[in-house]
Amino acid sequence: MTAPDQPPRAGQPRADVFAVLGLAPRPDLTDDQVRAAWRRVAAATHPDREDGGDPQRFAVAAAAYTTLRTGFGRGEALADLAAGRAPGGGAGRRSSVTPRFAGLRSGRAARWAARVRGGRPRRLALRVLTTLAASAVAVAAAGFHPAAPALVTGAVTWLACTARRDLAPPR
Amino acid sequence: MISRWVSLLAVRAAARLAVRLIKIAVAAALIVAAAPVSVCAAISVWAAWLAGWPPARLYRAALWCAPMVAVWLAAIAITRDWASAIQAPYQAWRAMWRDGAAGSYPAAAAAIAPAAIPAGLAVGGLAWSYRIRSMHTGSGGLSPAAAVAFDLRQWRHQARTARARIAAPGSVPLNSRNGDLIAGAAIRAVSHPARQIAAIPYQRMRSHQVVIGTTGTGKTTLLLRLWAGFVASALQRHSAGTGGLPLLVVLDCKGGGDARRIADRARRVLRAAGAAATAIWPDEASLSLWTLPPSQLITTLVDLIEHGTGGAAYYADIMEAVVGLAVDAPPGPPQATADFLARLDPGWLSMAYSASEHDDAHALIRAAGRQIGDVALRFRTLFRRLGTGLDGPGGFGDADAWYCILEGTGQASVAESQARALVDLLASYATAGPARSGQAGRGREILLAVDEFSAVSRRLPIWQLYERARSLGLAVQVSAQSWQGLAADEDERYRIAAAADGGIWLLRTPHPEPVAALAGSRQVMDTTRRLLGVPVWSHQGTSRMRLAPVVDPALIRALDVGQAAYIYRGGATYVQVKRLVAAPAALGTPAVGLAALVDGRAVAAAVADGAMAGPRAPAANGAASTTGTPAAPVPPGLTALLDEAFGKQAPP
Repeated sequence: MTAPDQPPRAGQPRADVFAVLGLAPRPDLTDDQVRAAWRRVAAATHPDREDGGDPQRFAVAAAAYTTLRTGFGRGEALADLAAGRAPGGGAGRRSSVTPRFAGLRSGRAARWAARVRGGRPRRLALRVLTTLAASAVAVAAAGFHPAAPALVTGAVTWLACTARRDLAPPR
Repeated sequence: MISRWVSLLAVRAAARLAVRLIKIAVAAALIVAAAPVSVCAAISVWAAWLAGWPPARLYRAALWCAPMVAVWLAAIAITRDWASAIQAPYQAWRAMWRDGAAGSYPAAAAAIAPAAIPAGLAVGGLAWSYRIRSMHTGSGGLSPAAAVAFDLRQWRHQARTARARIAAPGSVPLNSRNGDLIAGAAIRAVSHPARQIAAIPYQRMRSHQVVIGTTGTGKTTLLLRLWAGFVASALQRHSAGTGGLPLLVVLDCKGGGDARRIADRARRVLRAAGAAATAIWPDEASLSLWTLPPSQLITTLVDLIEHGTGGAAYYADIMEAVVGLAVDAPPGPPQATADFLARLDPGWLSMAYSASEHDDAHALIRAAGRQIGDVALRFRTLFRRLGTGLDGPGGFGDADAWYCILEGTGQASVAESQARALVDLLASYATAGPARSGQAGRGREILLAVDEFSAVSRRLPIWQLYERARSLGLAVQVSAQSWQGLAADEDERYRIAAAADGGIWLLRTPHPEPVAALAGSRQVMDTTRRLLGVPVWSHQGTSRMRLAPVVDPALIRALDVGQAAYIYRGGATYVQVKRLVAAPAALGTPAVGLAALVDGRAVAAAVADGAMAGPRAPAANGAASTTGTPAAPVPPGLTALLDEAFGKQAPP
């Protein structure tokens, strides 16, 4: 279960909402079955019970029922579960699609860091190292000749032109 | 006489040889003199050959050296004077030879590099352009067959480069900044501008398109990318205030388990592209046939039933009259299947039209009295076979995308009826204003994608679908596994392909000739060369212009998985399609800290505030997402959730 006060980030596998209601994640679940499961959990955990119930579990179950109460929601939840399990599927991999309104919460630095992490950081590091090495060799070879800053500029231009492909798309 | 002739020949041959040697010597001297440029040009040509780049790529690289040259000249101007900056290339060349002669090779290379690199790239581009042209015209290479081998080798190199490009995470985004859809990396362009990525303007997705490719060639991957790109671009335009909300309706006319798997993949991809909800019909969502306007409902209901012509037309007329009576009855149009079937009864109809002003209706009921039972029987059978998918509740406005699975392979006649009803519903939705149904279909940018529609097109010919969609402002994307799968007859196939003004996507298919012919031809130069002796060809010959097809059918037949040719306006771009990998979207979980929820009131407040709303909470509650940016409909409050489970009584 995800930490309650830290909502999972997009791309992170989420809790199994079927399990919250004690249901098996099957595509042939009916509205009645889900309602019966919700009724069972709600009756057992409602805060108005004499023993005080279980407000936390009740809240989670209410959210799960909100998701699963229709075919739409069950289909989406199943898709998430399948994506989380699919070999080479979506779980843990970055999307190449740019979702709406994503990234509004984080700052520019965080976005760049996320792009580096989601891209090919090793290749990017290799490019940076190559640029640094080429610049160092140019400075060592040319000394204080005007060619030295020019070659450093050329190396940096190359890095700027080619590094983008190793970054994840902006979100 | 003979000896003089022989000596003259010998002199001529010697002179030719001497001229040739002098030419080679001069060229060698130039190459050595401009050694840094020559080396850089040779490396760039080799790289271009290896990667299959067009010459423009080298020219662009030369242009990207401009900052380096600018810094170099500025540094010279600052440390010396402007006159030195003007002489800089010559001075650098001299310094290079001087340092080289002194054995300081790194210093020599560094001194000349700022001038040699851009010049070498430009010269390399020219040389590579010359090489490509000579091979394409047939004048290059040691033998005429060299041109063919060169082309095949370049195709392999270009495809390899394109694959590497799509493997890079940031190279091929879903959309460009100006909203163009990016299908993948461009392998090769014929009569299209040569670009690294294959982008198509959004407006072409608002036109008709055709996609042809056999199973396992990456057709679904391409379609998913186009659909996601359409949704993302349309949403981008909508948020900028330049377009309506998108609606994607996919009719998968094959059905089966594979369709469910694709539907699931489509849902995840579309959700990541911004679609708030994707409805999968009829498995998870339903539509209501009974929301059609009465006049359209009569036509649709009659067309759902198979009826003949000739003598059978009599019974068709009776059926239409009975259906008309049932739908137009004074209590109003039927609201559900059961309601409609109940009306197909002489007693009900007589009662409904009991008022005196319905004499005509009474006459009809009397005339058709004996057949009403038969009509009811036919409709009962039809609706039993159709299932509940068309019996509501729901409408196209409930989701941003609909994936409709029609069992065209397993139950052809049922799928035909469903296809007919779905198209009628979509047409009605597309023309519906907000006043009529509360779901503003008008103004939405609708893409109807039909896969293997020929499997269900007996009652609704696909060209009719095309024409109808055009008049409604819908874009139609027809996909098929082969040319023959596009439509039932050749005339119809040509009509569909010719109307694809948004372009044709051609993946590997065994019979690409008709589409290749539609792509047209282009002028190419053809050169014949004189054969001197086996296997040596001379460089003497003649050239002529001839017409060659823009799309080579042999190349289409040899396309690899994920490769497609995009044919548009007499040109073709070969594309390596980039597969979309969509992360699972967040499920609805409490956004509030559960630790804070110490009593039931806090839980209730959290749910009532929508804090616990799932981002894709079901739209089946009727909250249409058509009046603004698609957002998750607000879920019912806690009380409503408990009422659903326990009725109106509170739980223990």
